[in-house]
Amino acid sequence: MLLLRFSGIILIVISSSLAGFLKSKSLISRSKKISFILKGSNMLHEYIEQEGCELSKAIANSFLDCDFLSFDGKEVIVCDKDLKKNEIDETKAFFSTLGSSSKKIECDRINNFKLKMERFYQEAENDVLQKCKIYQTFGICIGLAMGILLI
Amino acid sequence: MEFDNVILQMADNIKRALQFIPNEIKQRCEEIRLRVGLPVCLTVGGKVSFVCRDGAVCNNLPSNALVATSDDVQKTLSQLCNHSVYLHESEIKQGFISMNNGCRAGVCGVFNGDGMLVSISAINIRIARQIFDCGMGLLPYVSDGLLIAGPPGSGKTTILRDLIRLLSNGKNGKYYRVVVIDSRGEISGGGMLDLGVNTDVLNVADKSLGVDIALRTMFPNFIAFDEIGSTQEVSRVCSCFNAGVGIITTAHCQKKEDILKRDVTRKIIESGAVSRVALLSKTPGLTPLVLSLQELKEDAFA
Repeated sequence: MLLLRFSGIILIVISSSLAGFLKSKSLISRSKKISFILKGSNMLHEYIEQEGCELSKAIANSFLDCDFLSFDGKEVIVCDKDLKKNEIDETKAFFSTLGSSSKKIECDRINNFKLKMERFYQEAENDVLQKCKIYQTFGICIGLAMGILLI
Repeated sequence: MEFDNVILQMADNIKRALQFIPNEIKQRCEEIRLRVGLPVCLTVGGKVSFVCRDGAVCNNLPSNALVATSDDVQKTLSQLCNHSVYLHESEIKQGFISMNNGCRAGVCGVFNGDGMLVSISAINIRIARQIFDCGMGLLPYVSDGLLIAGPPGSGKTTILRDLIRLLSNGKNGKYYRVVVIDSRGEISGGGMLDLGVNTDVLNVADKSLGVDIALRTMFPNFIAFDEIGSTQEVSRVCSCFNAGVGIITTAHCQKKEDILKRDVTRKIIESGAVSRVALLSKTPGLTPLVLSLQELKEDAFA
């Protein structure tokens, strides 16, 4: 009985700490994904400016690292849990209007999108710096506190 | 069928109705016209027809006509460009888009100071067709150069394409080397259309540069290109001609009297690049009238 109780307490401590770590990992991952989108946008800008290839090919080549984005020819589908809703909406809106205008307008559109993404990236980086450690410590502390209470 | 391939690249609303058009009309359809806020029109056998929302085709404007919205026209433009309008910028500045299957879409709307289309109001898609052996009757006249003249929609490009194919496939007694200067991708259809076994295609916007490259590098028996539009272009192209290479080209011309009256056609003939003119009638399929320079001058004199 004591052994069962002891293992239950350990499980609670571990899962609480894990939740803290997962939350902080999600923050890091969000920042990383936004940086991938930014990198892809830079490449896409190059492709369009140099009239390198058709849009679908240019997107596929530019966003190779972004496995959470899939382009079906008409629209981009974002399958991700780390990015915030406004970041996903912004990305979708950007891709939905792409390819329908002249080179200059397309390049301006990409530059605008890059500015927005840079802002999101800064926010994400700040979140990583400020909240990562808090989530991790909070997870461990809550776990320990619950464990002590249960003992 | 060419018609079905073309409507694949149109907005969903339009595509949905056009796919139900009777096959007999699909085979004869020459053009599809979309205008913002106006009924979708087809040109069938040179006459305008209207499309109903259920896909029926009427000669008079029906009450349930299929009307193209601004969104439909914009989406069609985007799809014609394969969602890459920026790649077709130079073509759009000249008022057209070359499609992969050899069809050509003319665009109309507001152009800004840089010549770029700012807002689109109409698209006219011309359906390219391959009619095999339609140029057979003109084969005996091509050796010293031939100008195919005719009004718009008379089948100049179709006959030119067939002549290229016939010469290249040895239907004139020998397998001739033919170089096609395809500035708009309309003759070769981006490689989708059959131009014979002995044909090389040069996709260059400047025809004179194309002729120059062809002469220097490809050693052709014939050089073929479509629609010489201005006298400047004729001058530049004519300066590249040299003896021994036959020229086959096309030009707009309404009737026989116009051939020597129009600067473009007169200049081509006077340059000696072509020795005969094949005049096509407004009704495609009729035997072209072949005239030599002598006959043209006699007619003009008379």
